[in-house]
Amino acid sequence: MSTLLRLDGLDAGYGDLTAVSGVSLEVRQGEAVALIGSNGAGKTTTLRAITGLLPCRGGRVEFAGARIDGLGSAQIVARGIAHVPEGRQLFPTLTVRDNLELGSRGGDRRRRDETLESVFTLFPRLRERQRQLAGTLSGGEQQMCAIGRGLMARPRLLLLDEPSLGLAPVAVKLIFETLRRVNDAGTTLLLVEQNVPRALQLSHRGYVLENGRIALAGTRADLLANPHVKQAYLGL
Amino acid sequence: MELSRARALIPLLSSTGCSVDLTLVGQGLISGVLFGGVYSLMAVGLTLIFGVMRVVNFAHGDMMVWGMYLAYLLATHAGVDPYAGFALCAAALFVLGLLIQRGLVDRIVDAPHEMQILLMLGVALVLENVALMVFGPEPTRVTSSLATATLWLGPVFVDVNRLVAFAVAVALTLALSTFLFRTELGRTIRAAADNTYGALVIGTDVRRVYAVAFGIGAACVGAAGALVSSILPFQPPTGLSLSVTSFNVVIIGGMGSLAGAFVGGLLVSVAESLGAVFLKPSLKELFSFTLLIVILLFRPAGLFGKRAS
Amino acid sequence: MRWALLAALAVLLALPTVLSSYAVTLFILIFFYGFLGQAWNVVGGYAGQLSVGHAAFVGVGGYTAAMLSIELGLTPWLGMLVGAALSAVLGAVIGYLGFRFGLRGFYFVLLTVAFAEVCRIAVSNIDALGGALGLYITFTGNPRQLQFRDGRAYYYLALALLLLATATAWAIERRRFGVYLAAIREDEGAAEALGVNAFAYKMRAMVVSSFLTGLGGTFYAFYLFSLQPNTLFGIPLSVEIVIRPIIGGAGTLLGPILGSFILTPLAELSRLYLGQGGLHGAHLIAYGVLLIGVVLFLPEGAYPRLRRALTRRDQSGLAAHTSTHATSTDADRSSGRAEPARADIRPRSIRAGLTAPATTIPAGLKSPLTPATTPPLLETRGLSRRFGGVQAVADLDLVLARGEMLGLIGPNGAGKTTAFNLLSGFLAPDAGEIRLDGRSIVGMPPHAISRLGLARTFQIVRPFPRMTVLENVRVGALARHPRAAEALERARGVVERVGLGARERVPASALTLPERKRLELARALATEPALLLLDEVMAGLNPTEIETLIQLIRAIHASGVSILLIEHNMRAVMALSQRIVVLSFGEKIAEGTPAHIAHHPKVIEAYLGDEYVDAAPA
Repeated sequence: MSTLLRLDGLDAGYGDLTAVSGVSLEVRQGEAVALIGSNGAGKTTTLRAITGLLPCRGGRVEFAGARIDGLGSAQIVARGIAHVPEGRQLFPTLTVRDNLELGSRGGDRRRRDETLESVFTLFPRLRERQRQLAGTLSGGEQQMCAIGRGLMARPRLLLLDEPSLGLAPVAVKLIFETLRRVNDAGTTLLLVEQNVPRALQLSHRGYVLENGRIALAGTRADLLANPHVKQAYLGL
Repeated sequence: MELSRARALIPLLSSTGCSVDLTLVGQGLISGVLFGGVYSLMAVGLTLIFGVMRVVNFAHGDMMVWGMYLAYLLATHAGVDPYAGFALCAAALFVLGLLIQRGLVDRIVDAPHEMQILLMLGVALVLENVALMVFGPEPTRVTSSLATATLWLGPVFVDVNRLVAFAVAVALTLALSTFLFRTELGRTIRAAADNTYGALVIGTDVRRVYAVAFGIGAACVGAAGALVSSILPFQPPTGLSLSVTSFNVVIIGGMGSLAGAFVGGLLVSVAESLGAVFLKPSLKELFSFTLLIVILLFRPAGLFGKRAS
Repeated sequence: MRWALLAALAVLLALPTVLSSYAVTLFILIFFYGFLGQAWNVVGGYAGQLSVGHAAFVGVGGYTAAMLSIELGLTPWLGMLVGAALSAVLGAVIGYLGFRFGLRGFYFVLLTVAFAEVCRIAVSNIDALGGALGLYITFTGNPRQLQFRDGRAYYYLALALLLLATATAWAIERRRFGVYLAAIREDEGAAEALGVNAFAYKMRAMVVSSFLTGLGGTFYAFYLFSLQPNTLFGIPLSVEIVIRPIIGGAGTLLGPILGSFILTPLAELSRLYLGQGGLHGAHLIAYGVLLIGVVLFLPEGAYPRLRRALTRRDQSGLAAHTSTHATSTDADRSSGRAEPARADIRPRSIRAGLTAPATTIPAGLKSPLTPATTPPLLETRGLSRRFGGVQAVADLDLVLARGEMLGLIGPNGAGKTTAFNLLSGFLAPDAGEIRLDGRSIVGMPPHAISRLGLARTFQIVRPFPRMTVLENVRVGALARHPRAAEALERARGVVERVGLGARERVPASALTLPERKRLELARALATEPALLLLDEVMAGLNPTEIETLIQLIRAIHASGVSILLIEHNMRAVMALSQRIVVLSFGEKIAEGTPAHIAHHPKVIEAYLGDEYVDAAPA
């Protein structure tokens, strides 16, 4: 499998604060990779730095062999990375359909309608609710809409930031099952989660971020067996 | 306290207080509504800029005065009637808005409110006083071919000038809302207004959206300026009171709400017009300011607004 | 610095003897606008409430004194005070409406503009006040009538006004009043949590500011002998008032004066030279450009920049003053050094119950004499709060005994932080009761709850970024120790205690995340609480830092502070809590000892989903 995304010594932060430093990781084509860690460990910062929402202060970000740090978020999205942010960040006064269509890149309407159709197939609930304002959806539906909006860009890599946040276990289950299907269909995933068992269940590999640095890396089996992970993140 | 004192004084001051007949009221209503179209257009521009960028354009009225002077230049030097020239004024103001956004506003979009307000006050001072240097302090008015035409509806007359200004302003407002609700770029602008971070996340070029929105907001007020240039005499300091009136309208309608700006424009204009009929013309603004204070206190999100302060 | 200021003052006092009459006039304007700027600075700078309606106070002050003088023959020396008092009343009305109704930013600006405009329109239409033409004062040259034949008298009068306003600002700055205003400006919510009654302090600032500005109105009227509503109440004068302190540096003592020394001569000279030959407005263009330049390049104003340049040059400063306020005065420093403050926070002997088996609620264990009558320290009944369609907290019953350390856990979004916001008064419950020490606190504002002994931290830390560590903590300490020096001493003790002693002079914005967490804790501790609410203080820390923080929290608890903590770090919460309450979707789903909670099927389900329940160790 070829490397799709590679972070090499990434530094990023806010104001005087350095939130992540020296983060190196890689995601290969077709993989699902989990980035786990406690609140405030720098997971969201890492994702935001990848998509250019936050400037990289040091290190490199490579995507599909080309360097992308320093590019604007619009250019990065155009290259094939879609970001499903923490808290969904939908457009609440626009319809579900508008939200989804806005995720699409490029002006090809037919291609957009095809992608929309496939998103509706993935989330039949969104088809039912397509005329409804996004702000009136339930939490689980909003998360579906946010993932759908990300998929509308036909990304090669989908970044997901806490898709389980604030959702009932049933909804979480549904979301993760769908993500598995998305990954099986060929989209590479990089997943940030505090629901560590769920995240590891979905992923092939994982990285543990602590205090802005990568503390551990390994396959799902390695991490599930690691005593530190067990104690700190699995609550066992 | 100041308010109640002012209110108590109103009957004393109004010599015509009790002898208002219905014709006058009807007259006031009609001219209020007709003039309100322009207020609405002006406020739509302001609310669009605020909705997308959360920046209050304190130079709004001064931009409008520039629209008026451009209409004046077109009329006096090229013989273009303001009802034809408004499109050119709008285009010119679009460019001015774009430049101000790119050069200045873009750098303070994330700054604290006070800093934004001060920057825009600076821009307002420059615009107003450049106009003062170029055009001088004397009140000006553009003569339109329609200026003297009137229509009679029973006992009430309709100023054709105002009627046309109203029609054009409403048509422009409708065109703008069609643009926002029926086109891809319009939808992107609405999305950015709804959730800027969300728009960034999906790869929207938010800076471009900001520039376009500021340009359109300025164009609205440029067109509005041209449309009233033959109705209202104007001079550079007029900009300040126009800014304040736009704030009134937008707060009353609800910051960021297009429908609110439209309805608010009509409301404020009718209030001022009736105020001029019932009280004396110099007191008409008291009406809208009182309305503003009441709305600020009891419904700061405005009649159509969703967001509280 | 002090000598430099005294020397400058001596020069200003002597200056009129050598100045031309034009130069005297220029200085009068510099002093007068500096004075108005300083008066505005109290509310606009220190308190950060941007008023663009201060002309209304000039107008009310001026018209009052002029009318009293014209109609009743009252000397303006007294009329000045009456006018200022009326301005203060108007200021109180505007402030009350603006602050009570929570108008901020642009909305507050508009409220002030609207009031000034209402005054202007009203005065223009009152014939008794001269209508739109205004009032004229006949020149008598009688000093009793505040009239002088020699322009130098106005010079000294304007200087006296400037000194009065500056002395007022100085007195405010070095007292609790000023520290609180700075805290409100930096982060009103965080200030409230530290016991600052933001409304009351903003009101006081508004009243002081409008009173002073009202005095200026009388000077204006009797210096120019005429009052026109459009000049005295108009927006342009309000802008003139605002612009100088901002260019000089709002919220600093010398900023308004510096701003006036920069801007007033510029305005006058350009009016004089550019105003000829039809170039109206050139000086206002210069104003506009200057304003734009300041916002873009010197957003703090000229004075803070100048001060930094000066401190850098003379090298004598211990540390660069990065804070906009030199709030730690010399007096504070020397007294603070007297003795390192002791570490104990609240020497209450309420340790009983700490060792009680935590399976039962250890309420009332403190004294055998009053077992049943002592109410729990904190108790909620049926506490509920909705946001739109989401029931964030549902029917929550919570009991925390005196001396207890209670953990509150649940998945993200379970309603823990909402519960904290309800308890600390930042949100009002839709239903339910909250009792602190037996007393209902529902509906109380956060600062009152803080004064009753409930302190909280914020999950996303909210330090006052431009204050130093010590200044941040002092805001908390002032709640119990109103004297600035004493509070500083207390603050220093708390800063030592949380391990930030070496960083006490560093501005909060320069701290690392773990340090910010400690600062957040220190600030809350400085209010000397009986109950401390900690919202995810471990988040983002590494295991070593977590370990030291656990020790610190244990020590705080052992000193007699009861603690309610929200925590995601299971190890920390298990190690610290005597009892744990679990929330999920706003509801309490389990309650008990750490051991009990760790194996509770509902808890495992809430965190991990139902299919994990069977797999959980029994």
